[in-house]
Amino acid sequence: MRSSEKDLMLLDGYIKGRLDVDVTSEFEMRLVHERDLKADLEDLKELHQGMRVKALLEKLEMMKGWENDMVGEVSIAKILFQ
Amino acid sequence: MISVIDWIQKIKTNENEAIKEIYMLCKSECLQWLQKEYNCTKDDAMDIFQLSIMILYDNIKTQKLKILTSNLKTYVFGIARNKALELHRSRQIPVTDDYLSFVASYVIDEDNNVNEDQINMVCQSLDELGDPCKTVLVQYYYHDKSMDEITLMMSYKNADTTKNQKYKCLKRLQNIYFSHKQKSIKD
Repeated sequence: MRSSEKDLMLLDGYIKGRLDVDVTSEFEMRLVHERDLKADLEDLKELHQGMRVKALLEKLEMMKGWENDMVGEVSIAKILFQ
Repeated sequence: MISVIDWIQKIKTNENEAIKEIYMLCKSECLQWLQKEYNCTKDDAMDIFQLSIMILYDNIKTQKLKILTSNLKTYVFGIARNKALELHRSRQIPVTDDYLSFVASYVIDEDNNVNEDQINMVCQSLDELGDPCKTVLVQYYYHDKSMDEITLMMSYKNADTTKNQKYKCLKRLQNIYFSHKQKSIKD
């Protein structure tokens, strides 16, 4: 990440779609001319999608956990009522 | 019956409970339906169902779903139907021990600018980065939490400390990711 903290805030705002129209067009002009800024944007998009996968995997694992707990509860109930 | 607006609101305040609520509401009916209508095995039906709930959640988080004209159950069944047809067409049966590529494929379908290798490398980099950085970044970028919310969650001193921490964490993640990228080019 070569961008300054200030530019990083702009990058964050840009990928989250939070920049005003004027700021967005100004920023997009900079992206055309500033190679490092453009590279940081590409990196940030990749990192962002990876974080999304990580967050979604946690939810899938949580659901798998519920199923395992339910199987465990059924087994205990079977033992108790045998 | 859960009201859609109430449920979407609940996802924002108590997401795990909200997911469990809809999961339990749809599960048995959806599993039976997938097995009967799409000849899915019990395991495949379960994978498709859980993936459908995950997609519902993602659609709300990414704001693709803001208003719903049908009820939530119909929406989940619609996703499950599409996934079942997709899996039948591609003959790609969900591999129960490879959820990473399962979820990665879903994200790649939505954003063609990333590929599976990149996603795998980011996930690996996030694991190497570890906590608290991983949590700070995922909360900020995916869950869209504000600096104040993350400050409270992580018990940091104030929002400025959190902002600084987030910047350092992102730099560290980017460095780890960059080294993985370089390595993959050499290999």
